This record gives sequence, structure tokens and C-alpha cells, in this order.
Amino acid sequence: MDIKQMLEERKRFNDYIDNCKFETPEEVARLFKEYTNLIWDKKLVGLCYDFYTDDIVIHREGGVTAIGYEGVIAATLSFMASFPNLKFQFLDIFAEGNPEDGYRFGQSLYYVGENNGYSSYGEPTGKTMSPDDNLCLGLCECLVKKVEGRWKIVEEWLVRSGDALEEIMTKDKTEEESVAISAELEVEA
Amino acid sequence: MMICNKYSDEIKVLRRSIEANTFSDIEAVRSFIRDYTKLVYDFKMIGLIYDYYDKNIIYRKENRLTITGVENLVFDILELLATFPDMTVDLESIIVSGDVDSGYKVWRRMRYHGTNTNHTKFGAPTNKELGDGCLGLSMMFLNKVDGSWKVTEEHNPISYSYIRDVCTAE
Repeated sequence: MDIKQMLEERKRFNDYIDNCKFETPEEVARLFKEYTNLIWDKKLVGLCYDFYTDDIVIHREGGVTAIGYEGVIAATLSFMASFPNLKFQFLDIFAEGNPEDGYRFGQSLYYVGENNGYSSYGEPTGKTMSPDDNLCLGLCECLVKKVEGRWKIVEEWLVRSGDALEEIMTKDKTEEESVAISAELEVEA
Repeated sequence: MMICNKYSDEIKVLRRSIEANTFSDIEAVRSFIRDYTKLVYDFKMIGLIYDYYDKNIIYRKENRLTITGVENLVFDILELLATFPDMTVDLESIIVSGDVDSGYKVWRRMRYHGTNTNHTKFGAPTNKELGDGCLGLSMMFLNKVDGSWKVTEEHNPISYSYIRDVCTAE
């Protein structure tokens, strides 16, 4: 997709989101699929403000809970900077609910990209998550309700393939380093 | 009012403003630069770089570094914003020269503010702030490319050693 096509697609997604009435679960699922694409693939990180609340609660794997929109922005930028060409390969998204009680949706996707930026694991490794290696799966569930007259994600549950990400973002040991580690282990034994 | 709603509304207003901008005169360009800078840096709308930078942009930075191509520029700005996720930019001065027929030259004097709360090439987050010391000066060349206004070249050195110090643990 060239830049012109990308901007056309972006406009279509933006238009759909701006005009969505939130009347059916199908509309909600489509909206959040396109919204996810705009934030991550099209790098419009500021759109997080549209559907997150100030005190959003995000539950992560390992019992970690984050509260607040600032953390959402910081974590999004950090992950994106580690994989600057990151794309989301959607497997599925679907919702249930109604305009009165709100909606709940679940989505499943693979991350595709190359670790070309620094991360908490250190310098870029250049290792890739390719479209067909199904390496790093990410699932999230979101609770969507009307807050102060606007549709908002008020709670999110998110699990990413942490070990796969760690493997991608950690440099392989050189042969010399591996030999040194083996030697150390032998000495300890 | 919820802060997220306030920011969401501000982003919508600024996006409408830049989309409606015709670059008809110097004041229109000045207004565009003000709105666009706030969208990209303060509001993290990094993807808008694709709209207004030419795909073959030449972006000259500090220390002999030159970035070529819009994709690489997006990655570069993304890295800066990820380093300081709460970054805001004060635009202290904008100088514009040129006209709608021959294109515009734009000068920006900026002051970057933010806190290092993410990992960088210098190590773990330091939680140190940029304070008032991070000056950025930029010269941009705005021209019509295939009917759309695009930055075709920019010179934008940033206080690299200052950023390195802020991102390096004591």
C-alpha cells in the first residue's frame, strides 16, 4: 500500500468512526477494528483520547494493572518505537451488548514487525515477527460504556505473547558468549 | 470535563483547521505550522507526518545525520516521543517567507518539554525532565507536490547531547 492509498484508507476509517451510531454490536466491532488500525498501523496515537477515559483500568498478564490514560499513551509509544513498522494482523473481533447497557468486545490478532528500536530488553535486534510465523499473539477484551455522553473504553484486559516478545527483543548470544556461559556452568557444577 | 475528552476535542478542532488550510498567504502558513506542530508533538498524531511531508523528504539533523524518506522520518519522531511520552512543544517563534505561487520557507523556534519515562538507547528511564534547556530550531521548505502542500526539505537539529544527559542515569 503506497502513502496515497494509506491516506485514503485512513480517511474511510476516520469517517466511519466519526459517524458510527453505536446501535449494534457489529457496528461496535467494526469501529474498534478500524480504530485499532488508525492508532497502531497509521500511528495516530492521539486518537487514544477519543475512546479511553482518564482513569481507564487495564489488566495485564501476570497480575499487572495499570490505571490512567497517560500510561496508555506511554506504553503505546514505547511498543511502537520498538517496532516502528509494526502492523496488526487481525484474526477476529466481535462484540455483544446494546446501546443502553453498553458493549463488550473481544479481539485477537498477531503482531507483525521488526525490532528496530530500543526497548526495555536493550538495543534493537533486527528480529522480525513475520506475517506467517504466527509468533506473537495478542488478545484483548474491552468494556465500552457511555461516560459523560460519550462512548468510552472504561476497562480493558490485555494479554500479549510475552515470551515471544522477549525472544524477539533479546539479542542472541554470540558463539563466544555461549561457550563462556557453558564454561561457567561447568565450573559451578 | 474528562481530560481525554478535552484532548479529543482539541485534536478534532486542530485537524479540521489544518485540513481547511489553503496555504493562501503567510498568515495561513503560520497558523498551519502552529496547529500541525501541536498535533504531532503534544497530541502524538505522528501519522499526520505522512500527509504533509514529501515521500522523498530530506531531513537534516544534528551530528551529520540526514534522514531521507517519510517513513524514516516517522520512525525518528516516534522514537523521540516514545522517549518522552508526555512531550509538549512550545513554539516560541515562527518566521514565514514566500508566497502561494513559489512556495514558502518556514522557520520554527521550539522548546521541547517532557519526562524520560521509557527505555532508550541510553538505558532505563531516568524520570528526568527536559526542563527549559531543550532548544530546537527548524527550517522547512513547503512546496506544492502533485497538487498538495508538502515539506520537501527540513533542517531540524535538536539538542542531542542535552537529551542524552537527561536520558542517562546519574
